[in-house]
Amino acid sequence: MTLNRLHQNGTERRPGAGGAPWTVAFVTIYLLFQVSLPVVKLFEERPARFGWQMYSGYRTFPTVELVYGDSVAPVDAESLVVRNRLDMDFARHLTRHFCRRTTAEAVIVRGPGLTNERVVRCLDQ
Amino acid sequence: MRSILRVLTRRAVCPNLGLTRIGIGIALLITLAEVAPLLFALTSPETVRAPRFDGLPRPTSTAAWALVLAWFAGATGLLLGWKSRWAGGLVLACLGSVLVLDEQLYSNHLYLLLCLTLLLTIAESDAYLSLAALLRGSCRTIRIWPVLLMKVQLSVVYFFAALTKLNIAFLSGGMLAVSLQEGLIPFPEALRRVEVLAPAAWATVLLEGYLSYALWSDRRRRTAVWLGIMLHIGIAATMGETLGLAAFSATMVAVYPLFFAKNVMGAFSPAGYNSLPSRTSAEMTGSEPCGPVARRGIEDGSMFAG
Repeated sequence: MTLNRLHQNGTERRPGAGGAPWTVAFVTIYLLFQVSLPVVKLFEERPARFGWQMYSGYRTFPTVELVYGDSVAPVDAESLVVRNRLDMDFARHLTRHFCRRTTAEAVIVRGPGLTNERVVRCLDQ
Repeated sequence: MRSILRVLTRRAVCPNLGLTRIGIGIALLITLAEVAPLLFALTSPETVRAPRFDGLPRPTSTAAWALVLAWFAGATGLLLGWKSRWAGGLVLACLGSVLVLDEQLYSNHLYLLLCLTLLLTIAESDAYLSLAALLRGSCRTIRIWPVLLMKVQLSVVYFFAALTKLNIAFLSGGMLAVSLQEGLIPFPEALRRVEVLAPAAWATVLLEGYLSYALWSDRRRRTAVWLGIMLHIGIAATMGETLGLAAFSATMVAVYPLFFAKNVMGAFSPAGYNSLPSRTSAEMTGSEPCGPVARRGIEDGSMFAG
């Protein structure tokens, strides 16, 4: 039976109907995800991930200081990251890194922005 | 609902998908060249790690090599169109692993490639312009809904890229001033002024917004494609992170041919003569036998650029 005859006389059941619900479900979920996620990300600080927010904002890399007793030593943390991503919050990872890799008692992370300052005691890590 | 179902279950001849698959294969290889050094850098205990989930171990050199080789094999398989389902699956596993392994490896083009590779893998993308097609003929029909989703994906990217740039940091030209510093082609210092950069920023937003819908329009498509190609060449050549932006540009431009596949859009209308009913006996045997409907599309060239 040729393809055309199959299509025209309609005597053959269309086996595709069995896969249709899965297709509809996939397409619906895919579209919902691809539209709703960037919409949600519009309300986060830019640039946010998964929101197609390329070059929509700028964040400075945080500065890091290590606390040893009464002294505080600045470190060049940016040289230790694999890639400085503007859409990423490095603070959590930087504190964990320096607490594990140094004998510092605490790590002070400032930024991004002027008001963000976190002091993390290494004993708590 | 029935008409939506009919569209979603349609199959059609869409040789342009072969071009898209090749373009995305190239973009995957460029992205690998960008990501591989970062992966190996992560194996050093001196570098800061940012795992997606706590407890994920630092990748070893062996694991990094395995990931790079698997990515290369998968991307090459997609590029050549050989066992593209397996190749696509392999690439998806690699991209997923990279995204989970460390937050520093994330990039928008990596995420975009993940989405498009998923759709390419579903879309039987080795049906055209591929080694597989060379061996078994290239007259197969494919599911059209992944092709439609790829086009929608491109519009979503352009739309949100434009929307999220509607802020003072970008429209003032400030973001461009920062970004136009380390490109392949150095941006002239004399032009690094607000009088130049602010209009350029506005033009970028307007162009991205235009591309998000103009590619769907028969009347505007050719203009949109030329503008889009110029935009992406400009991005890759003048902004920093050349490899990453080249991969992003290749990925976006790779989807353009799908907007010219008239028979895919034709499937929306009942008169979409070039499309076929869902899962005919041809599909069940795994290869469309170049039947009269498909042949007619090839003979009148209607599946090619319109």
